[in-house]
Amino acid sequence: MTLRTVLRNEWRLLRADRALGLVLGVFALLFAYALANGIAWVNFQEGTVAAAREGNVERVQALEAELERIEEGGRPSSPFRDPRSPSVLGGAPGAHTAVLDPGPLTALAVGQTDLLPYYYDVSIQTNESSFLQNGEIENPLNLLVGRFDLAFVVVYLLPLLILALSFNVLSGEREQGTLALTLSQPVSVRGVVGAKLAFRAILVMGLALGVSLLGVLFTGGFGSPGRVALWCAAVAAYALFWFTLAAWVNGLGRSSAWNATVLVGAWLLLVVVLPAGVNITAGLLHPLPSRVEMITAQREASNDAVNQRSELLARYLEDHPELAGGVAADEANRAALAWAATDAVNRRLEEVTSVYDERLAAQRTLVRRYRFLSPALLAQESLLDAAGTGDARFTRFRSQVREFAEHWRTFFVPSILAGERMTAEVLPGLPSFRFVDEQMREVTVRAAVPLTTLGALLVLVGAGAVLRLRRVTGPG
Amino acid sequence: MALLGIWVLNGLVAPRVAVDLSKWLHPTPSAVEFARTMEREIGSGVPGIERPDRGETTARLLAEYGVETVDDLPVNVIGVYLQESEEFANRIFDRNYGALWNRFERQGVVHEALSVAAPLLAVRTLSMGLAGTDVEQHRHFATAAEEYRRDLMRRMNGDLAENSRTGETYIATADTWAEVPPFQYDSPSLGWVLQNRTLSLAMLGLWLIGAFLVAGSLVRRAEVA
Amino acid sequence: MSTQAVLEVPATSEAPPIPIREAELEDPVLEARSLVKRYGALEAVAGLDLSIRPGEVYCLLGPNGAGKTTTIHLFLGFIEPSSGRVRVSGFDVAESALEARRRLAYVPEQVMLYRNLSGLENLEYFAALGGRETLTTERLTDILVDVGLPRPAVRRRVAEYSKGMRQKVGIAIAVAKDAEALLLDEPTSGLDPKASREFSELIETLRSRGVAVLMATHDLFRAKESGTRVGIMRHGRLVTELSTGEIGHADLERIYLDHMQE
Repeated sequence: MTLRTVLRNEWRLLRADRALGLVLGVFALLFAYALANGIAWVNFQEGTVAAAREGNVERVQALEAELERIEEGGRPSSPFRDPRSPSVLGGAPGAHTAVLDPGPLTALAVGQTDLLPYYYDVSIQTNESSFLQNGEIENPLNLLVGRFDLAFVVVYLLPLLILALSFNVLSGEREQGTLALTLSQPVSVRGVVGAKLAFRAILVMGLALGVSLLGVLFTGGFGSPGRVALWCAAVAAYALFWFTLAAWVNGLGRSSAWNATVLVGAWLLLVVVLPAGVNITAGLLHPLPSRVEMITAQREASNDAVNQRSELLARYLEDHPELAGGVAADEANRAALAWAATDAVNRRLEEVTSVYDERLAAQRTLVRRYRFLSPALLAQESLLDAAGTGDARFTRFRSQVREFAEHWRTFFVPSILAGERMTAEVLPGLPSFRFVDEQMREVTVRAAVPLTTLGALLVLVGAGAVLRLRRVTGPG
Repeated sequence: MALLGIWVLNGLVAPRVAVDLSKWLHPTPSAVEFARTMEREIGSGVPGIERPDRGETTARLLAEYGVETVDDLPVNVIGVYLQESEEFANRIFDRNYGALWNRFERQGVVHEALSVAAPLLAVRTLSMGLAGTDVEQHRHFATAAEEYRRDLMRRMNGDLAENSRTGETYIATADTWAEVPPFQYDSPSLGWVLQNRTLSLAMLGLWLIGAFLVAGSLVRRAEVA
Repeated sequence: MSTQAVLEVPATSEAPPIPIREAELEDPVLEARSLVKRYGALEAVAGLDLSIRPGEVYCLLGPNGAGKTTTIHLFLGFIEPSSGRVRVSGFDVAESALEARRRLAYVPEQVMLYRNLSGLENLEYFAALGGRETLTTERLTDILVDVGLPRPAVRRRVAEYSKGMRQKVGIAIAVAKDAEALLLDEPTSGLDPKASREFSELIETLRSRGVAVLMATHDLFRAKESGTRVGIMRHGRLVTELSTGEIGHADLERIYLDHMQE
């Protein structure tokens, strides 16, 4: 009864208050803008992915034409690009671009898609340094700032909307004097504050979830209802956390100005300072080796390798006895020698990148450990994970590309070593990359940790709020 | 709350809006698109920038030196041809990367212009400029490095062309390398940096003057009241 | 429609109006026993005993800081007593505050309402919170008009109301609640003489319906006019209790001033 009465009254108050309407309107615009942005990005990524796929087809067609021409007696257009050589066919001219389609909810959270590559050219030259390349062409100034997507609005701005609507949910009633009449009625402070917050929660979540679902609808994300549900749960839990925090602070019985200061302080700390602090700390404690180091290592390895190619080939064949029979291990087999050198360089690079990977893993572990400090980090992680634009999906993509590159090598290397010539017949049988997306179960299990933590935090702060509000008996 | 709202708009919303607006006004190609364009242009050239042909180069050199065979040429055709290819590629690179850099810079201008609404943008570009980390100074350095590389290539191809004959296997001596100057980079002057940042400076000036005027009129109004 | 007519309709009480003399035999609606409220060393209420029965109008007189408002707040459960008990219709306020408040109506000294809503919307809200969500808009409008709010003002924003008009909305909220007890804290301060007079009539109507009224006031005249009993408070104590029927206006003033001089 109280709930319905308060909801109706709050609705009237909202309608009568132009400022609040304005704030809500501005946020509705921000949400719509963020969504439009996300959808634009999805279209861009889909375009890129389609272009890359087209490129694969075109390359194979060009090679096919060239091979047929040569078979009919033509000369290769360039001696360095003779597609009959397996090291050319398996190298850059015949490279296969492995692509990652946008995640089902990318329109909601672009996440790190603009930072992490979602396609790689895979050839026999693919090595660890290929995975360090930058993805999209982007103005560094733009990368610095990040994207205005729904996840950004939810994590950074939504709490501000919630706080703007709720910082004086009780103190305002006290300051305008209406609390005296309210509390002379058979209602509890908890009940009234709860109902008032429920009204705001309906508004805010209606907006956030409504726009989210609209985005899902536009981009066909309903194909993965599990992810949509996870997204909604993360948005709801995060929003409710801020509502309960506002309730708790109001329960302390201080002035609206004090509440506003404390809540904004909490926002600054939890949303801006702590996440930045955690990331900076991770970078300081586990600095990534610079790219120059990588390049230098590659150079040195190449120089060494070129000087001792035959030795390397012999060693390579020792390591791969299954290939030894078909290889002409003499100075004339330049392709085989080159391959042995490449392989040696790759191994050296792996040593360097393993350091890189270790540091990166250490950074991630640190961030994962300290994400519990900030509900914003927890929410961000859950949202990106639900959207399929977080680390996990990209790591999965990279590891599948690695496997694919290995597969690509094993397809061509024996022919290279054996000094074989390729014909157009091999083209239809070339390995082709297909990303195997993660199972919903894996996503759920992974998202369960931040989500339950967020839930636990919510319960904790909520309990604190109820305890504080229970102590408020009068309007004084 | 109003002040906080301004801070959030200035610090969180405006920079991201600037990103979108700048990308919308001056779109950059996707990496795939860019790579394909480069591949195509390097492969077949574009009108005005023709891909050199070894046969043509040879014919031209023969005519220039008035000799009949390649063996009579005082220069190595390969060396000349390599340098011509190099220059061709350079022009294609300049064309594409130049356009890209220009777009980045124009995007930067959008960021600066938007500081009319959010002074943070002006402060940021200005401080990046002074710290030497803005796009223009990055380009300045990258251009210098590229110039150095091109000079090196020119020297090497020239060395090959002048000191060997076509068909020879030529190995340069240590002296050739000793003649190559080390890379030396002079960072741009403060004036150069600030000249790029006049818009930001002007915007900040406007904000300063505006803030003084508003504060002044408010104080006067308070005094009257 | 007159106030009486409005008040007769909610048929909560089966018995006919109770004559005043019989009222003393009934259980008190408002009851304080050895009530103490301390703020640090200060005793705002220092051992108060009070019993107000149905149909009684008890006026608490006293200077500022005598503990009148504190007493009312103790009845409402806004503050907890340091010791002693407060009961409303037999419900201990400390133990079942909601049950007690269900039976109480309260008009504060300054009736503060939602400024952006109309008087009617305010009344509708507080009446609904008080458990009267079934009252129709027409009935609520009538109640507002009956307590003296001009009909055109009913749907205007409270921000445009005078203090007296807000006070009337506060009284309307109390009337609509149809409570067993009415707590009034300086209800006539800020009202013009005419409104003040109408207010006294309203109190009389409620009293005759068997409502127990506790009114804190400075206004000796109003106390004599409306009260059936008067208690004079000083330093948190009742120094004197009088039946208004036994004394005149001049007597009350003399007694009051005598007590203030001590």
